[in-house]
Amino acid sequence: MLGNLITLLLLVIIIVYVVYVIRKVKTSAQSGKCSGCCGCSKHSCPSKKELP
Amino acid sequence: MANHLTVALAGNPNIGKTTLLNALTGSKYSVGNWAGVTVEKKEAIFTHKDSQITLVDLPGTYSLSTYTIDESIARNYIIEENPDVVLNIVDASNLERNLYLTLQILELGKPVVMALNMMDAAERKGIHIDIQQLSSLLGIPVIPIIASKKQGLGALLDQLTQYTSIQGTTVTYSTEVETQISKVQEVLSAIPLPYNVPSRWIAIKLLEQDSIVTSKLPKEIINQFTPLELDITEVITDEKYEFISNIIQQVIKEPTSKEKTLTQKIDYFMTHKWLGLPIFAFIMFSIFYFTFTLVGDPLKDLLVSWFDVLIEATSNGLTAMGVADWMHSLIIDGILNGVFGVLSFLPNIGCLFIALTILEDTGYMARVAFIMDQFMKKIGLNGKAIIPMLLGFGCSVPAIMGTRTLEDEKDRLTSIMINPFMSCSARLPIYTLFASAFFPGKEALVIFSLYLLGIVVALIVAFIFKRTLFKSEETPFIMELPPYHLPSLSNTLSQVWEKVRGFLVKAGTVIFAASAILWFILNFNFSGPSDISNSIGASIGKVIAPLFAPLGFGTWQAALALITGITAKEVVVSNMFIIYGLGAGASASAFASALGSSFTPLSAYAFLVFCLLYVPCVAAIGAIKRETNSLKWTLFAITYQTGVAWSISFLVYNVGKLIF
Repeated sequence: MLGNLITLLLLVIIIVYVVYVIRKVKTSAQSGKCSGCCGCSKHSCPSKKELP
Repeated sequence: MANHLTVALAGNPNIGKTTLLNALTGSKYSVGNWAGVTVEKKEAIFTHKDSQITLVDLPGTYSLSTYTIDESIARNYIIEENPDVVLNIVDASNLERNLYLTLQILELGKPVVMALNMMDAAERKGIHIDIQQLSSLLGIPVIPIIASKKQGLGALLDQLTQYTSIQGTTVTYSTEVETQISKVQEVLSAIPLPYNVPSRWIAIKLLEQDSIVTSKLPKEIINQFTPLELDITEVITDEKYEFISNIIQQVIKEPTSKEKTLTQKIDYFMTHKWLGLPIFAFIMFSIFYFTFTLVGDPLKDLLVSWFDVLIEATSNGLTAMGVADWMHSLIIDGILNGVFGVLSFLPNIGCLFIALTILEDTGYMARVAFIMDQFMKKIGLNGKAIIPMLLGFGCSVPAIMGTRTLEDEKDRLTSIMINPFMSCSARLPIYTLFASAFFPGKEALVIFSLYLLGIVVALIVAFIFKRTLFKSEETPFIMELPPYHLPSLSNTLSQVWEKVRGFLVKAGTVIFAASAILWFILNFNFSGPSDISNSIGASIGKVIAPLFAPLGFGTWQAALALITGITAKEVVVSNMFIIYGLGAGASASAFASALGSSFTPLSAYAFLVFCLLYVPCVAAIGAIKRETNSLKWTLFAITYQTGVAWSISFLVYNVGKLIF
């Protein structure tokens, strides 16, 4: 019983997290921001308003 | 908080703007000893005494004309956003060149404080600057600083918070030019001005026929002025330099000795016409040897043994909690094997990051750009395009953005199109996995050859584009070689950590999600649970696989790995771990036997060539779309890059078959 509950809980956590990551990647791709391979998502990618 | 102050940080490229920003605010923005590190503005907020200061780091520019996008960004910010004060950072060892921008900023009528940076470098060159005299001639406060050593920053901040609205000195031009300026100013006095700047500046821009300023003014005003016979832009530039020359004579005492500096002595070899390129190749090969054989691999073995312990403990924990078998498999065989499989390459990637950061920090990368310029000239591309290409060794996204420094739009498009051929660090785990499995003992050579191939393909493609799609006039390229200096430990550590942190974040997000999804599509088909060869993943792979058969890797496993690799290149590796059921701690021989059924050494190399050249990751595709602002060019980039990858892999495999 406990095993099933933990399985269910883990499944929910994984699904929610995967959906969150997919949305993040989608936003990154649309804005041209990278997903962090060189740490530039925070520092180097300008927001849209800065585009000429 | 008593005051809030917005300060725009402006200066020439590579004079330590970002270093100053980091020193003042404690930020960790990327710093490099070469021009073009900052291509957009960055903001940081901090407090000094009872003032809150927003510091905006503008791209480094030599002038405030609008030939390049970064110059436009800097100028637009100053004239449109109205910062309270402009902090003009100037290289003390190269004052004459830096003052041109200073005079342009002063013409904008904004309060200016000058930070005279690199005082130590000036002293080493024996240059003495009369700071008080400089301040009095320019009519602005001048504060000597050494940003890299955080010297003089207190005085600089005090001066910034006490700024006044007094304007500094502006150039008085010859009578002919001044008469023209006055005439235009008179006409402008009748209309509301488009910017909150002195009408004198707008008048000068109007005479120079600056397209941005003229577009903001009514046509009837523009039509009142016929183009002058003399080239007013040239006259104004000449007179500014004459003014600067007078200032320099009054404030600088330079040594009379003409003995060569250490930088000049080193550069004799590093930038030598014939020796420069072999030295660069030797340095790159040494880096790969250091990254793989010498340090990276022993560290990797250590890390992998820790991962094994962690995975075993997690597996035991899940079993003890009575978690269902399929969930156990999802977490252990799917997510953890995928994520830790990629993370096991962290030591190799970390070593590469350290080596590249040191090369940047010493100033050597600027020499590489100089050496490569001779090839760029031959292919008809501006030498400046080499800088974003070198940035591409780290990540294609900032590299594609780095093309903003190119003046010519067609040069910029060419540069964007060839940039993804430069091997980004995300591809490194794929190379390492395959090189260690199929080319033991020759990993450094194999990976070096791939990096070299990427550069050669980029140059050949640029050569073709510049003669077909993107024909344009050659534009001049002037590059300043910064003096060599020893890399700063704190800067190196901070930058390497930022990159490593990015890699860890990616493993915990994109790789995690991709591994979970991959596990699902490899364990289910449309009827329910299934064995791997009948799964959804295998079905997708089997549809695409025939396309790769002529390249020697026409298996569904390779096809699926390449498709999923578009999300992020490391996913190709996590795919291999999951598809072939390898534990994160699998040895090179285990890889070789698992992959041996699908690849020969030759087809493995062809696969690596394809991974190097095919369509970049979604983030890079997004960057291409954003920077070209065109769906057409984005689709073109995706299609032709994949076509190039296919053709060259085909050549490698089939020519290789004839030879071996």
